[in-house]
Parts: sequence; structure tokens; C-alpha cells
Amino acid sequence: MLTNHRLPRRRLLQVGFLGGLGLSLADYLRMANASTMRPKADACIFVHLKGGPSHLDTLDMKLEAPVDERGEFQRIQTVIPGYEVCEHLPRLATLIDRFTLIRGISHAAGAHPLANEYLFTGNRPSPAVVYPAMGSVSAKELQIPSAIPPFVAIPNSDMSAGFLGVGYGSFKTTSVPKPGQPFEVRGLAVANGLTIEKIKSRNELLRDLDQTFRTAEANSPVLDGLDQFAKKANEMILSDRARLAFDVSHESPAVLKLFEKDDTSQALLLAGRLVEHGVRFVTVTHDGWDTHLDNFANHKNKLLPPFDAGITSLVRMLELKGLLDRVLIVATGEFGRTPTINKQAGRDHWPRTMWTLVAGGGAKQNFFLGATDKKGHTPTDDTKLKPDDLAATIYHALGIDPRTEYFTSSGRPVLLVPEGNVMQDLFA
Amino acid sequence: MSHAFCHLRRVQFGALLICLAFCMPMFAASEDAVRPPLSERFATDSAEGTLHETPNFQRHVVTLLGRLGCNGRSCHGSFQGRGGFRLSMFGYDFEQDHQALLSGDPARVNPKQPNDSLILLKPTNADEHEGGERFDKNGWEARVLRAWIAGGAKNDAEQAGQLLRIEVTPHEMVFRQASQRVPMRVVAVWSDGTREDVTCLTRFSSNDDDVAEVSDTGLVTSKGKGDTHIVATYDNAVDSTPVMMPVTDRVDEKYPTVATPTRIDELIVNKLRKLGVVPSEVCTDVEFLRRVSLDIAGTLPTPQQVRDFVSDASPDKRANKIDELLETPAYALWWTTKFCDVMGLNGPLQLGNTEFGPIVTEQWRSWLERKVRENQPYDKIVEGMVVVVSRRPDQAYEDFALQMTQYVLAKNPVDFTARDTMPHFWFRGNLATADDKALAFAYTFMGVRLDCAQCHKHPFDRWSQQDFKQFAAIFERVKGGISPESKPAYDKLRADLGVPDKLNTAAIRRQTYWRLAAEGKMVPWPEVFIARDAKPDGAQPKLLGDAEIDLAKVDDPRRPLMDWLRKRDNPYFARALVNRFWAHYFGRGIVEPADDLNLGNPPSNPELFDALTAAFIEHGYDMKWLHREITRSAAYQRSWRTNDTNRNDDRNFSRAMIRRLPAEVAVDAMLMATGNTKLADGFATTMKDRRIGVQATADLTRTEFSLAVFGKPLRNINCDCEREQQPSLAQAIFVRNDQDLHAMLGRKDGWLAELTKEKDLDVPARRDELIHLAYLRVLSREPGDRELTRARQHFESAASDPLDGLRDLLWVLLNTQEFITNH
Repeated sequence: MLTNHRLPRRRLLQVGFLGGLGLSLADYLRMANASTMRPKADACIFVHLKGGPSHLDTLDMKLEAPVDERGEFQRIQTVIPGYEVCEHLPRLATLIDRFTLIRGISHAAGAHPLANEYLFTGNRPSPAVVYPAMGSVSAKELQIPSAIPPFVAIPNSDMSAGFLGVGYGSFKTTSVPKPGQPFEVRGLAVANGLTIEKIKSRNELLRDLDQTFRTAEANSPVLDGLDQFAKKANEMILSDRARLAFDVSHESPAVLKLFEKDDTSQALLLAGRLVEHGVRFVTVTHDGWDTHLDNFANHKNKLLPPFDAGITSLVRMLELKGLLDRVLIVATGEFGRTPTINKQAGRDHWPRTMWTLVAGGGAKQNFFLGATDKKGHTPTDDTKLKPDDLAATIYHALGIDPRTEYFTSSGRPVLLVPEGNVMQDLFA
Repeated sequence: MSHAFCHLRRVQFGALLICLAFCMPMFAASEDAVRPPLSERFATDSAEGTLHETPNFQRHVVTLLGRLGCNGRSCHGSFQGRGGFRLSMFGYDFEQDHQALLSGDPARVNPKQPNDSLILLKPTNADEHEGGERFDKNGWEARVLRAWIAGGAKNDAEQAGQLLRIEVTPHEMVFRQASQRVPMRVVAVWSDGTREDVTCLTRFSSNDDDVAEVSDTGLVTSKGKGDTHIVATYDNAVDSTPVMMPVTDRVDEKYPTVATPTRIDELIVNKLRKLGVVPSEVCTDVEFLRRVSLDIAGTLPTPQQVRDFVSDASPDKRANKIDELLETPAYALWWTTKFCDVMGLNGPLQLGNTEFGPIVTEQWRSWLERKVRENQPYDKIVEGMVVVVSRRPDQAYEDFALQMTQYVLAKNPVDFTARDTMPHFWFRGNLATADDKALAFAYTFMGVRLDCAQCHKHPFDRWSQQDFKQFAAIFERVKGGISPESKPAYDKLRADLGVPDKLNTAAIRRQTYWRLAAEGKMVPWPEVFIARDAKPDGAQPKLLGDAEIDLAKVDDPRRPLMDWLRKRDNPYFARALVNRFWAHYFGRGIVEPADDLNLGNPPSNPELFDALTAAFIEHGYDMKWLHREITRSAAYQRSWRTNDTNRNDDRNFSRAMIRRLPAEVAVDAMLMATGNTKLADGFATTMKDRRIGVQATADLTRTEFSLAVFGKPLRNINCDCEREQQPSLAQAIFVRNDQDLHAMLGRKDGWLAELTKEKDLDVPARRDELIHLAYLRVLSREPGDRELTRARQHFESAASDPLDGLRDLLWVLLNTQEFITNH
């Protein structure tokens, strides 16, 4: 917030000069485009299935796969005729017609950190620059109500603000609500014997004692930044607005009873509440999908039940509130898993294909985008979807031009998602 | 010295020798031999029956297109081109550009009908052109292009020859008021002896247009007070001219007497005198003690140290304190972390095959820490990391594996840190290709960012893509893994050990190997080696801006690379370190950003940069000498309090810049200020649990919450900027209300817990002493009278008991701007 990532002045002059057309026209064109582009969604809930779910055992099951690749799960019929999913996703089977299923996003990053960064930024990771994750870009580009953090991670996330700087990083809850209890979030809870009165009395003492740099002119951008953020922090801590936004216990019984008691469901309940209170980007990390060991037992017992319950509850919650149209829900891992089952009944990393589940925010219902071959090894169609396209699509839905130009702190010009194309077919 | 340095800046380094020998006489004698600019030679149509000369493609056409902006990145220089026409970005790929102009349908150049060429029609708006009108169809630019086309539109590379340098005049501009104008002149000197005025083909830019603006034609207009540079770019040469307007009229003879106790101060005040800027006063003893303790040792002084230092009457006490701090273990720990940031030691999972990553990481770190502690010369340390393979040439793989195992034995392991060499830099997981290695090497050891030149001509420096390719070729043979000659023994070892490859996770393999190694068994260690089968079609390795390396004569191209770095006149190696140290102490490099040494980004004080670098080399790359030299200067010891002349100075070191504490230092300071007396007193000597020694994990969620909030670098990229120095909302919330901050105040080994045993806390004298101690612990100074009174008042009226009051006071002091900054 102290630096303008769009236009560092010295570089602007040089680049503008070298650029012939100059930036003003390009900026103008971009702004002109932006004004005709009405956002499809006000917020995004990005559910990261960290580790990479087994696409073949969940939403992209293959009748014709070889026996030794097929796995042990049975298929069940969904509300969409002819489409079957894993037996351990019964709720999704009845609600799958609210979603678009994207099959066949494909890339070549086979390690978690690289694949995650690629997924979160829409840019292949580079040692030259850390691109900002979608949540940080949303925090920078979108308006938010005062005292509300623009970008929240539940309970935390590897999404990095990259060259935008920590000022645009996620606000991490570091915990999830416990069912039936008030929820207070890290940094905002008035706990440990503190009261608002106590905080106010400390603030008065702070105001009177923090005078050193008022005794002489220091002319320091660091001090300006400290002033500015102290004011915002006090706003958030002292007003009830942010605390209310996080406290899911204020939801109506009708909403609360939609959600199961597991952490993922509760995290998604919190996500749904936060977007209603003005948070623009929420990422929920559902960890544990890296099933090199006991793929099936883990999916069956630990992973699928909370995912199945949580994601369907979230859709129903937003439907109940009439918000589904304005909130884009995206659930995805960083890659799929190998068709071959290893000796430990596990499946390994398979970035060649994966699935991504999308709902709300103007996305079509009852729709399939892309497809994989009969064995589920490879995307079949020629859409050639990549993580770049997913990021471009999410930005587009939020009304952020994926070709927005930023400057890194070294003055290097970069486009938000230079190689991603918006999946126009996704939207109704 | 400063005289020679002027030349160094003005010329290209590659042409240094020639220039030092001939530059001055040539410059004086051959002034009249300079060819007038194209804008004059082509000012009018050629007379009837005569022809204009034929312009040269490299010298005139490409540079003209560059000057007109045609090959900029938002026009035809972009990777997609524009309107079906693509030029190399910033123009240094002459063959490609020539082809682009002559091919295409229709071609941009029409040698049969020069006047119908699109490169004449479009930029003059005679044909539709998204980029608008770039020049007048009756102007000299049109005549130049027309004459080149009429002359056959050739890429006469041989005729162009090599650009030796550009000479930019005037060498310095000092303005007295706004709106004064001075034209710049640029003369190109080519290898065939041609000297040509190329002002009209040069791209100019100002590094700060609040101070001076420059027009397309090189006319400089003063705008405001301060100093900056005008940068001129022609062909692949870049040069700059300092421009200034004094801030006050207290310049030259009117300048007050300012003490300059060190050479650094002389050189800084020399510049300040020209600018009419008077430096701030020297800071107080307590300010100095806190600043230097945090900077050198990453550690707050203890209350006792503050009191001792204030009462110390010796005149050398500041110098003595510097010496003392440089001998603390905290110094070695903190500066090792700083080095590891720049060297990219980024987490166990990214290093040396997943099985051995954690071992490799700790070997690297502790090896470096020992060298820093023992103050090994910097060039020796780097040599030990750079010119190194894992296995001696005469060593069998089995012997090497056994040797590596000796370092990790459960009982009496051999000390890895005693080695002279440490190859692990080359194991970095993100240095897979020669390009990656070149980018990281240039960043780490040379302070140069080459990523632009990886794909196109560097827009602010002289590097072309060819320069980058040849530099990267140095690293083509360097590999981390298993060499072909080790492969059979390695495979056999793995097979004999019977640890299956597919032993599902690396974690299980790792534990198995570690257990075996700790028992003294051979395990399959990876190695850094030189591949013999270098790509035959690869680029010829070449030192950056210097000589080529003959691979027939050297086994390991890193040897000549290291020799080159060590040369006294190497423009990068020692400079990069000096500049980074300087930036650490001043919050700003002499070149800023500190890791961006490039010709378009000149030093704010070249004489200072030059002298300090030369002296550092003179002192045998002695890092402690450099720490001392910088911290003993009056410049480092200045107050942050500004005066009327230096309020806006942020580049000439006339005042202390207020800096936010680095993440690790900030968290340590909170832990120390709130810790019990024993813990706090041991902070500078007991390194266990010190955050200044915590290694990066490359992963945000694996980084301690507080360190992540304050921006500890993950070491994933080649940029000093990865260490976040700015304040943020999350930091403000952390210090106010995070559970970790509350836990620090309330913890069992905390100061408040220690005091619960005391009975006389509400005795006024003891209470006052506690207020003093709180100030000393957090702000490293005694409270002033007003502060003491206000704190007492809080204890009396707003706190339930003395401990409650003290908790409030500690919280308040931790939340002051004075605490979270180094000032």
C-alpha cells in the first residue's frame, strides 16, 4: 500500500518512453474495457484440496479403466442422468446439478509447492519473481468495507502476496470454528482477560507515550506506514464489525443445521459468512489429499465425507441467502493422482489431469467443461485447459482484467495472467 | 582515484583498457573529426543528381527504430509483435530484425519502391498505424530510412563494426534554478575509429523527473532541488550524467564546517557540499548503542549494557562497542542468515535430493556460520562454494560415500565445517538449468539482475541475449546428482542396501538412509560434479562483458570465473558485497536497489562506492573490517532528526533513515524484552531458539506465524526485495492483539512471571525502577520525566495492580514506533 505496483515512477518514464504508445493509452484502453465488463461475482471462495485428490476415485470415475487402475470404490447415480460419482459422495450426487465440473486442467508441475504456486497465481513459478496469488490481487483491486479484511485464509494458506508485498497477504484465521460455539479469530479476539475498556486504556497510554518521532521531523515512509496500519488495526480490533463477520454462531439455526461438525464443514460455514460480510476472497485449505499411502482408506474415511458434506452445505447456505449468483465457489486440488496404484495402495502425483468443481458466480449449472480419455489418463478434447485459464476465469468473474499490468519491485512489467484465457463457456 | 573512476563510469567496462590508454588524448584531439548527426546530414533532400550516403543498419536504422519506440515492449518489440510485425525487444538481434523488415506480405521494406515501404507509410500515418504518427514524412528520419532502403536495405554487419563506447557530455550538470535548459550530446566511438554524433539516435531518460526532465532530443530541463542522473542509451552502450540543483544556497564556500572523521565522511560531505545539504547531528549514545546492536548482532542491548555504555567515559567507547559486537555469536548467526538469504538456501525439501536435503541444509548453514565467525576473507568463502566438486578426481564413489557418512555419524562425527569447501550451493533445487544457475549466480555474487537479458536486450543495461547465453554457458557443465562414472557404484550401493526406490515417500527413504549413515554405513550420497559431455552446439562460455573461456584449456569453467571475480577491477564481485553491507546499515544502497548494479542505475556517490570497494579489496576482503569502517563513520552514527537542508534527502546519507526491524530481529526483540532476566541477559550469547538463526522453509505455512507476518524471506527468488521491509496491517494487529504476543507477556519464563514472586512491587521506588526497566528492556533507554509521570499515572488510575500496570506498559512500549524501528 505504500508503493504503487502499477507505476513506479522512474520506470514508468523509461518504459513509457521506450514503449512508443506509452502507458496512458494502454491504461485507457484497459480501463475502457473494464468499465464495460460488469463483474459476475462479488467474491470468490477457493477451496484448496491440498495434496491433490484422486480424480479417478471421485468425480471422474472410469467404467472402462483397466481393473488394476480402477480402484475399489463403487459408482452411484447422480441427479444428472448418465453421470456417476463415487459412492462416498452421496450428497454431491444429489446436488451436482448446481455445479460445473471442469475436467482436464493439465500442467507439468509434479511437486506440491510448484503446482500450488501455479494454481494460485496462474503463472508458472519462476525464480525471478513470485507472482501474487489470486487472493492478494483481489485484495489490491477490489473495494472492501472498512474494518473487514479483504482476503481471508481458513485456517491458513500457501497463497503468497508475492511482489505485491505482505500488505496484501491473507488474513489467516489459524483455526476453524467449533460447532455450536462462538468463534473468535486470531488477532481480533478479545480474550486473555482483555476487555475493550482495557484496550482503550492501553491505547490512551500508547498515544501519550509514542511521541518520540513527533518531537522532530523524520520524514519517513516507514513511519507513515506504521501510522496508517495502526489506525486500521485499531478499527478492526475495537469495532465489532470484523468480529461479527467471523463469529459463525450468529448464523440462523436454519443455516447452522446445514453444516456437519467436521473442520472442513465449519470452515466452509465461516467462508460463507465472511463473503456475506464483504470479504472478497476466502481460501479454505482442506489438507490431507496427498494419498501416496492408503489412498482408498483415506478417501473413504477422512477426506470425502467432510468434503461431500461441506461443499454441498455451502451451496445450500448461499442459495438460502440468495447469494449463490454473486459468489464464485471453486474447489480444486493442485493435480490429480496416478492411474497406477502403488504398493502401499496409494496413488502418486498426476498433473496431467485433475478436476475442478465450480458453482455460483454466474457459472453454468449442470454443465461439464472439458473431458478426459476413457482411462482417465489425459484430457481428450482440444480445449487444452491450464491453471492459467482457471486464474484468468476467476479474475474475470471478479471483474479484474487478467491482463492487468503490474510492475515488480525491480521494475519488471508483468501481466497478471499473460497466458490464460477466460473460459467463456463456463458462464451462463 | 576519483579521476580514474570518472572514466570507469563513462566507458563500457569491456573497453576499459583501450579507454584508459587513449581516451583523454583522443577526446581532446579528435573533436573536429566527429561526424555530424544524421539529423543534420539528412536535414534536407539530397541535391538533384546526388544521393545521400547509405545509412548503416546497426548504427543508424535499428537505433533510430529504438529511439522512435518501435521496438518497445508495448509495440513491435512485444513477443507477439504488433500488426503482424515483430522486432527484437529493445533491438539487439540484428538478423532477426533485418529479416522481419524484409519478409512478410507485404514486406515492411520495399527496395523497388522505397517510398511505398510500410516502415515509411505507417509511422507517418500515411497508412493505418495503431501507434500513430512517429515522425514527419518530410523529416530527416524518413530520409534516413528511405536512403537505407534505396541503398539496398542491407544488414551490413561488418561495416558496422563494434561500438567501443559512447561519450556523453556534459559530464555533470549543476542547475541553480528551475527551467534552466542544457542540451546533451552523445558521441559514439566505433572500432574502425569512426566518431559520430548520435544524439539524435540516443534514448534519454531521467531517473527522477522531479529534479530534471529530458526530452527525446536530449534537452535537459531543471525542475526541482535534489540530484539524479540522466541516462543515455545508444546501441548496447549505456551511460549517465549526474544532474543536480542545490537544495540551499549553503554551497561551496558558504558551506558550514562539518567534521569528517573518516574517509567515508569526507566523500559523503564532498557531495553534500555541492548540494547545500548539511548532515544531521551525530546521534546520542543510547541511540547509537541500540542501532548498532540491532544492526551488527540482530539483538537488543540489555538494560545493564545500556547503563554501562552511558556511564562509560572513554572516548573510544563506540569503536569498542563495535569490536565487541563483532565478536558475539549473535553476529555470526545473524549474518549467516543474511548470507543464506542471498545465497538462496531455501529449505530442506528443495536441496540435494529429497533424502539428504535436511543434512545438506544444516551442513551449508553451519559451514558458513563458522567462516563468518572466524572472519574468513569473503573471496575465500565464495571460492569454497563456487569452484568445488564433491568428489576428488582420484576418489572412488564408494570412498566418497563413506567420507560423507563420516560427517553424520551418531558418535564422533567428523566436523563438516572444518572443510575449506562446501559444494551445496549447486544442489539447489531451483538451479536445474544453466540459465537458472547463471541468474542466481549473477544475483548472489555479482549483484546483477540478468533476467531481462535471458529473453531480450536488457532495457537499462548493455546486456544482450547473446551476452546472457554465453554467461550461462559457463554453468552448462555443473551438475548436482550422480555423475555417469559414479552411476554403476551408486546403483550397486542402492541395490545392496535394499531400500526400494518406490518406498512410497521420500520421508521413509530419508529416515532409512539417515539411520544407516549414522551407524557408519555407506549410503548413496549425491555429488556435485563437472559433466564431461558438454553440449557441442552450446554457446561459447564468456565472462560477463569480458573474455571468452576456452573449454579446451580449462576443466572447470568456474575457475576462470572465480579468477575474474577476484580481479581488482572486477565491476561486480566486491562491489555487490560492499553495496549490500551499506544497504544493511543505511536502509539504502549506494546503488539502490542494492542488488541491481546496472549502468542505467548509477551510484548516488561514485567516489564513495569506488573508494570503499577498493579499500575492502585492499584489506583482503575482510568483512569485519568493512563492518567497522562503515559503523565507525559519522555518517552511520547520524541522528534521524532532520534539519531544514536534509529533510528530503534520501540518497546521500545525510541523516539516519528509519527502518523497520527485520522479521527475525523484531520477533527476537519481543521475546527478549518480555523474557525473564536470565533469558534476556543470555540473548546475545545463547543462540538456541534465536529467531535470527531460523532457516527458511520455502513454504509459507511452514514458517512461524510471527516471522511470516513480518516478512521473513522464503528464499524462492533472486531478489533482495523478498525480505519484506514494509509495515503491514497484519503486523499492526499482531503486536496489538495476537495470541502469540499475549503469550510472550504471560509466559512462564517471562519477566512478569519472574516478578510475581516480589512482594514490594507497589513501593513507589520499586515501581519507578520497574518503569525504568521496562523502557530499558523495550526501547533501550531510560524514560524521560514526562514519560515517567504518565506511566505512574497509568499504574495508579488504570491498573488493577502493579503487575497489571507493568503488563500494560510493556504492551504499550512494544506497540510504539520507536520499538519496531531501528532509528
